[in-house]
Amino acid sequence: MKEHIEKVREELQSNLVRVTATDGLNVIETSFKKTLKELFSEMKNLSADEKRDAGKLINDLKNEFEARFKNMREKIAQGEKTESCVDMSIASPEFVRGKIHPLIRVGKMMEDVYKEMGFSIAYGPEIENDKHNYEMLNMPYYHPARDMQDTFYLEYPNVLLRSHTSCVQVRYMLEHKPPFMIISPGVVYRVDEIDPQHTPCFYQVEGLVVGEGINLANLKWAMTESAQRIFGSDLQVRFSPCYYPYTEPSAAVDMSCIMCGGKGCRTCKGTGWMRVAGAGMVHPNVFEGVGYSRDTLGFAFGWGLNRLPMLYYKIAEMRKLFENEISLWEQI
Amino acid sequence: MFKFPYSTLKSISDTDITYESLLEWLRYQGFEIASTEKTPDGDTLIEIEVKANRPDMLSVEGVLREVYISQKIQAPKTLDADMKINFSADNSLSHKIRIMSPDVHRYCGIEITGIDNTVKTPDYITDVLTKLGIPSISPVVDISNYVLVLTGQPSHIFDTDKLSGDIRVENTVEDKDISTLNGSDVKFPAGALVISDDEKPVCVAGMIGTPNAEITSETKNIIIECANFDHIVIRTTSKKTHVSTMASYRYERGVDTELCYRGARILAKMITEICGGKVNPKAYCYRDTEYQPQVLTLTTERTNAILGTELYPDEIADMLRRCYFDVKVIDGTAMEVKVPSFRLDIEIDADLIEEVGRIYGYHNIKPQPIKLYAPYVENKINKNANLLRNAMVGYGFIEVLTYGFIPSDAMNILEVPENSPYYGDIQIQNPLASCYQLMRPNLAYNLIQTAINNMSSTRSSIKIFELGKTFGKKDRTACGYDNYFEKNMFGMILTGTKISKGFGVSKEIKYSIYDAVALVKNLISEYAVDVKIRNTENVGIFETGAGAEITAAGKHIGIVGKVSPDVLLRFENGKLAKDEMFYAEFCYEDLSEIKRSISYQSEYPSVVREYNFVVKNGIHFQDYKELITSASPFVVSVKPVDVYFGAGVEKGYSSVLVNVEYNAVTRTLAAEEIEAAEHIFKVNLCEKYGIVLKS
Repeated sequence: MKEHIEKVREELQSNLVRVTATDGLNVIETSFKKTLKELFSEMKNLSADEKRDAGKLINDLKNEFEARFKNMREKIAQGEKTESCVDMSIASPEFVRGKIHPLIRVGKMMEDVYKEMGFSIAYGPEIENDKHNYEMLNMPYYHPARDMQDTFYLEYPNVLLRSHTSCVQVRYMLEHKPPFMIISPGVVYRVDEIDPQHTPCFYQVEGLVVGEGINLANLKWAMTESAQRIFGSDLQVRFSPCYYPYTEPSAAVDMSCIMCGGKGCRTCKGTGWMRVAGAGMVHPNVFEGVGYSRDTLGFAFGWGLNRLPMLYYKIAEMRKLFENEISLWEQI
Repeated sequence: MFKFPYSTLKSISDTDITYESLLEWLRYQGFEIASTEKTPDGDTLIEIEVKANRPDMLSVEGVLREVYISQKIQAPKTLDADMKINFSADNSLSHKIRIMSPDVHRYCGIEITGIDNTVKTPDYITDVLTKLGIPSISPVVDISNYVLVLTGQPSHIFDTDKLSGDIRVENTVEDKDISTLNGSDVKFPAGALVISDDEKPVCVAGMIGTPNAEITSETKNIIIECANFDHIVIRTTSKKTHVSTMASYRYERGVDTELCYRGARILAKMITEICGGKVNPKAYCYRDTEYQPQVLTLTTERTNAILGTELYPDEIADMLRRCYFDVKVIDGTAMEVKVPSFRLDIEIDADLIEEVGRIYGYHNIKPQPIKLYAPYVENKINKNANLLRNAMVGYGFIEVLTYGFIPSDAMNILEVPENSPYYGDIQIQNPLASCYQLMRPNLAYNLIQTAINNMSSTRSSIKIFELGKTFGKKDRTACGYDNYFEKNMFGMILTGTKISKGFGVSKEIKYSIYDAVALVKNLISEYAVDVKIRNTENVGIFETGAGAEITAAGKHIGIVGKVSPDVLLRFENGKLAKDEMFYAEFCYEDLSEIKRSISYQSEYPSVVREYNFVVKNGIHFQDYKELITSASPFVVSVKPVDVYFGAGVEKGYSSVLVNVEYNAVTRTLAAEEIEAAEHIFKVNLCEKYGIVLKS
């Protein structure tokens, strides 16, 4: 029995020398427990004295190796911890976030700012009729200003694709009474051949504020405030006289070039300014057309959106906005 | 647009205007400088953008008038019109002029005899015309063009010897083919204003002459026409015929009615000075109405209310006077404003207020915060779009934006049958090209093409989505605006690798139709109740047996499925789409966030059992799931774990592994209770759908 126990000890010792990992130790320990069981079962054939001696030897063996297992387990665990070598700079391709289209992204910035300023959002149809797209905006069929907006027709001359989102304003006024503050973001269509700087569709965000005491100074505030909230408080906004059939007085709105900060660069053709919107006090004829008093006070504005994401994200060509090269969108 | 040489403006100016100050003032007043161009002689051509409301700026004199405002000089110098001519309605010309149209507001005719049209046009005239790209024809024609550029008054000059009988100005009653001076034959529509003699058309009024009374070097006797035609008739004729001339461009925007007298005098004076000849001092003049200057009332209160300023009446009056308005202050706050005839755009007090604003300077108006209470109204479509957009970005999709147009053959490419709700044939009458001819009835065409366009040797996995409108007609055979409808749609494409090889994964896993369905279900279930996805065959786009319609609360809202490989191959570079491509689109207008309450889980452990059912194709999981759920109140969830076709499963069937969780709130369930539930649904599944457990 004694020899048998010694043999087991030697085997264990030689096996343990080779063990470097928890898995190997587990195998040896399991085998050891099995061997102990066998040794204890062998004792039943021994005499009482031999049983006592063998029992002591087996218990010593058990205690000795259990202690060693424990000790080794701790050491291996310690070793395993310190020896782990994970390159934490490597990320798997999982959990890739998607992207919002740059045009929509800038549009959403604008929507968020106007919502914060108390504006509601109104939508309208993209297929329009002549009445809402032109007539009610003070542009009768013979008006030369229609030349500015070459129109796509589905049925000539009455069914067309809206050439601006101003028709949403008309529809909104026909259904609502002042006071209100709305913006109407959306796509508009004009007959423009697709080339680097032209597309037949583009985005506008139009605004309309109608109510007691609204004036051109409020319009200046609304445009300046919104532009500065989006592009930074250093941004300058200027107004100059302009002409739109549906506003009087009308204004063209320029903001300091976001590429050069107003110093003058290629983008702003050296002027330091970029034309970004048109605006003005709503023309009394428009108010009258929707059933309001001609004395109603309100202003309207319209941002042309296509250029802003181009500048913001340095997109070289306008048509790229609709070509959807997703390797580009992934970068924003 | 109006282009003029800087030197010409200087030549008729009697004040010092520097080039820089000219450009600065024009820009300041909103006349954008479209271009400036140096000429070989050191002059500069300036092109300004003239908006439709300021036709008075389509002349050098008009620009000068505007510039004088900056210098606070009242009376700009104009071309010399010192010519003794008596205009009279009595017709003393060799050819009687008969005005037979209400579209003629003014018509002046001056007759000159014995001119010599072979002389050389003076250099100061040809110099201007050459710089503007206007060819020099003969002295008389050149003078006519020169006067137009300088004053803005168009004119037409007839060779009297080529006229026979009376000159009639009338609207045509039917379409008329007329050969014009530029050598083209144009069909002028009924209603066009045409000038004819007893035999032939001699001019299309306000637009272009004909060779029938053309001025040539042999011309000796002429009648100068300086008229004012209605802008609407000129505009509509010009638009219909696509004939646009320097004259029509001005007439359709409006020409000062009172300018024609001066224009005619200037022409007569210049022609006789340059070409000789004798002017008949009795000239003809027709006017439909006597000129009455527009008189408007303006109040200080209204002016300040619109501009947001605190201007005094005297300040307002001074500013208007600078702009050539005759202003009489009636009382402390109101004033009577007489509008000069050349300001055709001034019709109401708001127009005057704009004048005050621009002279005061928009930059001097201080921004004021809005003090208005306007209720905020949430826009459901906008909210839903943003919720979907954010969810899709979270799922790793990239948003794209495509045109609302698709090619004329898109329905054939997509195999969409005519009875499909995703079929459309709304044509654009004036498309950019045939590939942009149809208004899209679905988002599929553009999204599939976009996905393919982005495929390359290094990119085959595409996850894109779009939020956009689709268009349709209620009755495809009917016309009229009210027949059209449009919907706010969400569309997405899913194709390629779901899990890449590497990082412990030994084989890449591709997206399957079940992923597309799961995504759609997750997106919609957040905002709609009772979402069901059922196989359908009648929409096109999809492979047979792999397309489904999406319903919410029993209403059709969209489709999802595997794009047919045949469809893909019909697209440009469709071969690049090697993996299965899945497409979904649905209308998101009516979705609403659903308020849900939380139910607490039992504290007793659940029992989860898996069942491998053999299900005949065409039977929907969502239907037999209900049978399992209803078998016992202890069934708390029923989830599909896997679907298997192939070896070991009979053709026409699939093996569906389903995970059922049992639980009771008050106790741990006994095996007998679970077995009782199992028994019920097994019987029901077999009886109703023929579904049995896989042996």
